[in-house]
Amino acid sequence: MPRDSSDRSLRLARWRDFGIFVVLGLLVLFFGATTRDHAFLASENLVNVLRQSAILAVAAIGMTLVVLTGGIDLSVGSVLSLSGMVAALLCRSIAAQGSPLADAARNSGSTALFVVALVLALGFAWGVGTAALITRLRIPPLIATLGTMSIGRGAVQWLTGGESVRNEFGGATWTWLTWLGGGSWLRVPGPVIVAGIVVLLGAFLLHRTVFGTWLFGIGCNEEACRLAGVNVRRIKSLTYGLAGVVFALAGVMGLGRQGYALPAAATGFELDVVTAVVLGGVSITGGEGHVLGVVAGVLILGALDNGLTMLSLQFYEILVIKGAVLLAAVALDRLLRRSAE
Amino acid sequence: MHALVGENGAGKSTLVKLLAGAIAPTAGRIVVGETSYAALTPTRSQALRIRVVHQEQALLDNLTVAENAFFGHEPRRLRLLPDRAAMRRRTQELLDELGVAIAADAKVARLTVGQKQVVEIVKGLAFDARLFVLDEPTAPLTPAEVARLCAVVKELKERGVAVLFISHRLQEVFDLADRVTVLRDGRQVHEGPVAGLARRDLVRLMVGRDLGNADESAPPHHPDRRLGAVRLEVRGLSAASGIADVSFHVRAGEVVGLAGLVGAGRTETLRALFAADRRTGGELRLDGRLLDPRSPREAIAAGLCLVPEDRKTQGAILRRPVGENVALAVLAGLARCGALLPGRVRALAAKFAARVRLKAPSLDAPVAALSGGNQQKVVLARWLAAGGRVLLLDEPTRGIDVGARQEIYQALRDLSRDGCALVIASSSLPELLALTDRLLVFREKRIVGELTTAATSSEEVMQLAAR
Repeated sequence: MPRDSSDRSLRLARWRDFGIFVVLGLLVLFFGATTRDHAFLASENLVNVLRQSAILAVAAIGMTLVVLTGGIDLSVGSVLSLSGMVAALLCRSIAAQGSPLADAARNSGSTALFVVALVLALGFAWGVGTAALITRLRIPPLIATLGTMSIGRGAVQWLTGGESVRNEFGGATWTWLTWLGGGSWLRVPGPVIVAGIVVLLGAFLLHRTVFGTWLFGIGCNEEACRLAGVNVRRIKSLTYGLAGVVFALAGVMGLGRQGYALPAAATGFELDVVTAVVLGGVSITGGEGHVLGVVAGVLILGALDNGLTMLSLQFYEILVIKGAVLLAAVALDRLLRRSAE
Repeated sequence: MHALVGENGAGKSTLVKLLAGAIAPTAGRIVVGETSYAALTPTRSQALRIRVVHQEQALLDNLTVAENAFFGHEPRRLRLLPDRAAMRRRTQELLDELGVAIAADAKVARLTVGQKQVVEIVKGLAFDARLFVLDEPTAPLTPAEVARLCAVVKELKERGVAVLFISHRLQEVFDLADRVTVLRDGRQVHEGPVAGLARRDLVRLMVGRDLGNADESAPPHHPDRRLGAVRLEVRGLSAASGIADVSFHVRAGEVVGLAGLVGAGRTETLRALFAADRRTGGELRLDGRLLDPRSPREAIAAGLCLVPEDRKTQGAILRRPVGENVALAVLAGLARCGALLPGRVRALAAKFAARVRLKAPSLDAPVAALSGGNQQKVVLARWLAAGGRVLLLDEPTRGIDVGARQEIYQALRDLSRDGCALVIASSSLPELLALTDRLLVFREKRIVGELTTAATSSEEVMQLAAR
C-alpha cells in the first residue's frame, strides 16, 4: 500500500507539528534583534533560558501524559510545592539525628537518593489517588484536580505553619538534592540534564511503547479501548501516577533552584504548564500530540519569560502576554484543524 | 418520493450536505421551486423549508419530544416565554396523525432509535418542511420499525411533501420511491422511474459490476465446514441492562442469529456475554469450562470477541492509524518489555487487513479516512488477530455498502470453517436469514423462540418478535 504524501490534510497536519518550531525560531530572532547588544543571543543567556525552562519542561511532560488521556491535572503547582517542602523537611530531620550512623548518612549521596525516591513515591501515590477520584468516583478531571490543588496547597502551609524551610543545618544530603535544581556537570546545568532525561523517557514512553499507544487510544475513544480489552482504569491510574512522579521531581528541582522550600512556591504554575502543553500541539480533548512539540512549547514560554524580562517588562505584563499566548495557541489549533478537515 | 442510492463514498452524503447548506458547490446551481441558487447556507436552507435528517441523529436527549420538535422556533407567549402547552399540543397532533404511539412530553433519552427517527420527522413537520432529505433513515431500525417509518413517509407523500430518501436497503427503494437516482464515484449514472427497473439492474448500476443476486444474500458456507461440539453455553443470563433468563448454546463453526426489535435485548445479551455490561446472574461455559469474565479484558482473554453496535464510538479509534487499530487487542504480545516492535505490528496488521480484504491508502492512515465498510473491516480484523473462539457481532453491516458487506460475509464464512462460533445480532432479517444456521428471537429482553433458519421465513420471525 503506497503512502500518499501529496495528501493535503496530511501536509497541513505536518505543518502543525513543525510550525511550532518556526514560531520558536522567529521568537528567538525577535528577542535577539530587540535586546540591547543582542544580549538575548549570548550563549550564557541561552543556557540560562534552558535552565529556567527545565522545571517547566519536566512538569509539562507529566501534564502531556494526562492531557493525552483527555484529562488535566491542575494540582501540578501544589504537588511541586508540597514535594519540595517534604524533601526539605526530610533533609532537616535527617540532619537533626545525632547518631554516628546519621552522621555518615548525612554525608552520603545515597541518602539524597533515598529522599528523592520517597518524594517521588509520594508523587506517585498522589497521582494514583487523583486517578481514583476520576475513574472510581467519576469526578471530571477539571473538578477533581481543582480539589486536589486546594488540598495540596493547604497541606503544604499546614506542614510548616506557613514558614519556609532553609538549609540552616548543613549536611551533604541537601547539597546532593539541590544539584538537581542548581548544580551543573561539565558546565551543563543539572536541571537541564534532568529535563533532557525526562523528555527522552517521555518520548519513548509515549511514542514507542504499548502503554503510550493505549494512552493515545484512550484519549481518542475510551469506550472503544475498553471494548478492545484495554484496562482503561489501570492505564489512567498509571498515567496520573507517573505525572505525579514527574511533578514531584520538578518540585525537588525547584527546591534546588530556590535554595529553600517555600509554601507558596509554584503558585499559578498550572497556567504555564497547560500553556506549554497546548502550545506544543497537544489536543486539549486528548488523543493527539507529540513530545517534541511540547518541548518547543516549553522553550517558547521560557524565551518569552526571559526575553520580555530583558525588555524590562513587569511580571504582570508578562502574565497577560502568556495568557494571550495560551488562547492564541488554542485558537490557531482549532483553525488549522478545521482547514485540515 | 425520490430515492438516492449508491455505494458508500459514491457522493450521497456530499449531496445531502449541499442541500443542508453545510458545504457550497464548486460548480452548478441548486434550483428550489422557481429560484436558482449558487449555494445554500444552513439558514437559507431552513428558510426554504428543507429539512435534512442526518444519519447521526441530532436530538437533544435531555429535552422532551415537544421541546425537540420546536427547538429553535418555539411558539412564544409575550415574545419571551415558550408556549409549552401549544408545543405539546401541536406535537401530539402530529404524532397522532402519523399514527405513532409516542407521548409529546416523553424525554427523548427514553425513546428507542426507531422512535427518535420519527421524532426527527415530526421536527421537520413542526416547521412545515416542503422537502425532507432522509439520510439512511432505516439503517438502525428493525423491520417492524421500518414498516412503521415507511407508513409515516407515505403519509408525508400524501401531504404533498417532497422526500429525498437515501437507503442501502433496495427493497425500500422499490416499496417507497417513485423515482431513483444512482450515484457512483461522485457522478450520476442513472435517473428514472422505479417502476420497470429490475433489482439486479439497480445493483449493477450502483456497483458498476454484476454482483449476481447480491444485496442481502450471503456467500455459501465452505463445503468443509463442520459443526463441532458446543462451544459457548449460556444459562439463565441476566444483566443490569434488563435482560433476564437468556439461555442458548452455540457449537463450533455454527452461526446463530439474534433477531428482534430494537430494544428487545439483542445488544444487551451480547454486551453482557462480553462483560461490557454487568451481569447479575447466569452461567457461561466455553468449551465446557465455567467462565466468569468481569471485564471485556477478561472476556477477550477467555476467547470471546465483540464487534460492537456502533463502529464509530465503540469499535474503531477513528483518529489512530489502521495498523494500530487492527493490532489493538494483541498489542502487548507485539512488544518486548513494553516497547513496541513496529515491524511485528505492521506484519500482523498487514496479514489480517488482507484477510478481510481491507481497502486503505496505507496502514498508517487514520481509520477516519476509510469508508464505513472498511472501518468495520478494521474492527473485524482486530478480532481475527485476537483469534477468539467465539465472535459476537452486533449489527456488523449497518450502513455498509453492498460490496463491503459481501466481503465481511465472506470473512465470517472463513471463521465458521475454522471452527469459530458466531453470534450475530442484526436488524436486517434478510441478512440473518442468509447468514445463520439458527435464530433466537428476542422480545422484551427475553428469548421467545428458537428457529432453524433453513426451515423458517421472515414472517414467522416477525410473528414472534412483534406482538
